[in-house]
Amino acid sequence: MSADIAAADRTAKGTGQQAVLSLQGLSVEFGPVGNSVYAVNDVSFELAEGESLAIVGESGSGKSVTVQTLMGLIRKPPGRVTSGRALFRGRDLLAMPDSELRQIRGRDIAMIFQDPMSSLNPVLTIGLQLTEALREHQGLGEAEAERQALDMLALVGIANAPQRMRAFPHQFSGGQLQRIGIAMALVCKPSILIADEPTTALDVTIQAQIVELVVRLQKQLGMAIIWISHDLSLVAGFVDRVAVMYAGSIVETAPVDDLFSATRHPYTIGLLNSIPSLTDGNTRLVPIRGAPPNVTLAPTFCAFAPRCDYAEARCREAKPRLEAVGAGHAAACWRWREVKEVGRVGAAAAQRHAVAAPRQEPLLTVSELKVHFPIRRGVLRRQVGAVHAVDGVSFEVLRGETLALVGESGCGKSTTGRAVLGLERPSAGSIVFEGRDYAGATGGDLTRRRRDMQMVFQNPFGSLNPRMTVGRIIGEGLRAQKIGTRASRDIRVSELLALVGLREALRNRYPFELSGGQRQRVGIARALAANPKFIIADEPISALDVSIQAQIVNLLDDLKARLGLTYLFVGHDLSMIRYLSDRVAVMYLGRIVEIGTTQAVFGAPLHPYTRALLSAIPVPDPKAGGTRRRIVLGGTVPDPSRPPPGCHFHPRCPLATDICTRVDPQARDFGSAVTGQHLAACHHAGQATP
Amino acid sequence: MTVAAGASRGLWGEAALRFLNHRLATLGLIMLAVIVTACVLAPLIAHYGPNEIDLRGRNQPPGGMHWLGTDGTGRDIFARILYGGRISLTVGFVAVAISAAIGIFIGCVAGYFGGKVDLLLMGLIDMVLTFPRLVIIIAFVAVVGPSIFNTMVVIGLLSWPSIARLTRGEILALRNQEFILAARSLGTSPSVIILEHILPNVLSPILVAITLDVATVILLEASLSFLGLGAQAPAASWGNMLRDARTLSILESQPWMWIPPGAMIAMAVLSINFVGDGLRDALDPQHIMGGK
Repeated sequence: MSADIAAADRTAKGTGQQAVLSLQGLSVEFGPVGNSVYAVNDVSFELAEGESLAIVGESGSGKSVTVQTLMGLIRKPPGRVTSGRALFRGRDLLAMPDSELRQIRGRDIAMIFQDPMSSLNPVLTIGLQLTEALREHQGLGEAEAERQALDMLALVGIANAPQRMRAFPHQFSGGQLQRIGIAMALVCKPSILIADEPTTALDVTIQAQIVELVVRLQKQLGMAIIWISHDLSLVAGFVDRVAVMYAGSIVETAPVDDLFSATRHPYTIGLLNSIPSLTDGNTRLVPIRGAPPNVTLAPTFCAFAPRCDYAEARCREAKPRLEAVGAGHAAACWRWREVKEVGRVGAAAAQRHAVAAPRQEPLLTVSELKVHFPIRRGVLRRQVGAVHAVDGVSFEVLRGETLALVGESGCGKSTTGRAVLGLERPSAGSIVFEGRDYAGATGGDLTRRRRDMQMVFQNPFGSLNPRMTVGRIIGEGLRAQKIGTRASRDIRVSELLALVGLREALRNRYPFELSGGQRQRVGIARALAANPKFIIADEPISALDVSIQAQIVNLLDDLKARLGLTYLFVGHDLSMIRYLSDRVAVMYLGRIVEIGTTQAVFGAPLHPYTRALLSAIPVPDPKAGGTRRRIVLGGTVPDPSRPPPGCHFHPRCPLATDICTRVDPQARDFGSAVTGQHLAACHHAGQATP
Repeated sequence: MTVAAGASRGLWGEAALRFLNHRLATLGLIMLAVIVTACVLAPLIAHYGPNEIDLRGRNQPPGGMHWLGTDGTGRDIFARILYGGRISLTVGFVAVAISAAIGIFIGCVAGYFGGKVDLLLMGLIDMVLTFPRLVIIIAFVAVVGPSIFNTMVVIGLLSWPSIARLTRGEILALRNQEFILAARSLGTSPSVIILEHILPNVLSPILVAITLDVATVILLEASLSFLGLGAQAPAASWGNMLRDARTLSILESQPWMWIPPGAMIAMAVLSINFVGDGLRDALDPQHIMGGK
């Protein structure tokens, strides 16, 4: 079977292409025999010279374990390779002794990791770490190694390389560190680069820089790439071929265009349907139902069957093998012939709730809000400066609408949300909720405000107390606000469980027994306990798997309609935000640079930062990837304790002129009767970007 | 990977189960239970009082009427071991209870409120930590006079900084967790947050430290009594029994007078350390993940 696909692969790539890496029937288990976690099940693929392959899957799909096994990086025990071969230019990586593998690792196959900070040694200079690999693998002298390391740093776009060689990892930003990580991986000019979610920890504009860099280097150095990701849209733009993994098996593999245009596996279809479209905002997302797979069951059936609309008896009895469904295209599904794309448009019943036009009455008005965190130094803790986390932000949230605050990390969006709720003390400005100014409120005032205003947090793991049962967590707000009696609170907890779609039986469970999606539902139920009018959602889906994100977004959507809620949605995932918000405010370095209706901001962005941000959104369509014009911003977000003078954005702005360095632009309204209010704070708002 | 755990024994139930699967810890717990029970039930077990003098049977080796022999004034060693154990263990537990109460309270306040409060309390902690404990205790006892009560209080008052520091550190790591933020945003009061959200989550390492502290304090009390600064004659404690046996002739020719108290100190400390290690393994989340 695998030979079949290998042959198909070769035809797709053009015959004569030698496979540089051929993985055959790899299976990896963790834990003791008889009580195993089946992490990787019979995975095969071929990687041709110079080809780029993406392995896409959700957490626990086995994508990282697969490549870590290749590199000899999994710990044994508890890990066990139960079958398979990994032929690198004909030599089996899995069978060779450690000393030999070490030679190949770094010299022929190199890897970059998700967290660049932890993959570099914090106490050694960058230069030392770069030259070390060269001296070890290529036996170069110090001077020659240093020269090559410098070349490599320049190649990955680190300015001022000779000086930066002597710097330590903490002196670089996240994006720069990832460039250095890439430089380290590439110093020995490997023939395969394995990238394990290298942009997941980075902001979207920095992600665009890194992707561009890797694609350029691949062409220059002619290496093959395996790019591991959970984001189908991201890889659509630049890889040749995609393998989709689910529960440790490859369920579909195809040239990138075919995967998107002739999808064959129900799971891939489900993934594509859970990503909001950038062009079509009003159809409801179609989530994959159910929870992630249980990988402690032996892989003797189709792991996707419990969540699959096409599942039938044989899916639960026997595991389908990958079979060729087209040129270089294989799928592991019994019913692939019958599977047709469940188009989003086709699902007519799934129209989004017709959102009642929000009443034009502000529920919350924030004016000139500032939150500065003092920086103290020395024994006397004198204040020597301040981090301007939020630096003069004004906006309104109308009753019944969803306002989204977007921006990159460090722009102050979360701090703004927390200040509104009173979790951070504002340094200046007013926060008027239902006619009362709550800025700096304490004690009883604050408690009263918190009946009407609640928060859903980002991290479903960190936001629930691990030592409390689900029932106690949900009822906490009622107890804190002294609402009702013990019996009435119990009843309310049951209602809330039902409201967010959790079984009553989960009431006595602890958070560690729940999946990420279930936990986030508990977090939502907790926020809704005291019947608030206003919910601040601080990146409520960014820590969840793609297929679960759509479930939570739909839940938030339903709750808004049923309970008449108003949302302030803080996030960085622009395609999700476009889908669920009515208006959008874009933040940069503590200020709102543009605010307007979602259609206006996404359709005709005025601020150059908004444009760059929008152009960096990955599109789940390989064809659009090439034609779309990317505005890749240079540099990184400046230090918020020393914001640049004038317009905060001018050092990175393609439109910046002299005035931008001196005068802070005021927000001007560019809206019309049709688009509604559309403010942008830019001297050159609306001008075409060069 | 941990999801399959038995329906809902609760986290503490899981920990108890892991503890009981730990062989040395269970052994330590049984040893400790035997020692404590024997000391508590001393009047029922020993045939003699601790200060009862048998003038005709002085310096008797073990056997017959006196299971572990008698000392130079004809007191029954076995009885003195049991009654002395009461004092040694009481000092251990009470002194640690005092230091734990102070330490946890100060650690919580410093860790949760931070800022100037934290700065001040950390200063205090650093100051107390610079005191040489034994010297201060000797000076203090010299002033107020030696007694069991004084020993307990002084040890308690000087031993809290390490627990305060540990508590503070744990709370600092926990304070910015989103669930604390969530509790604040729900309007939960600081005292409830500390009691319901923070303490249960920091208790494991503190419990381990406290347990191991008991052993240290028992040793400290033994040293003090050995120096004549702890329990005063005629009251028995393991330390001053050793003190009574410190002449060369006794050490050479009457080993029954010093081996039993020495062995008891060793056994008590050892069993407590076993329990402490068992607790550490049972409560440590990393062991929960990778445990057997």
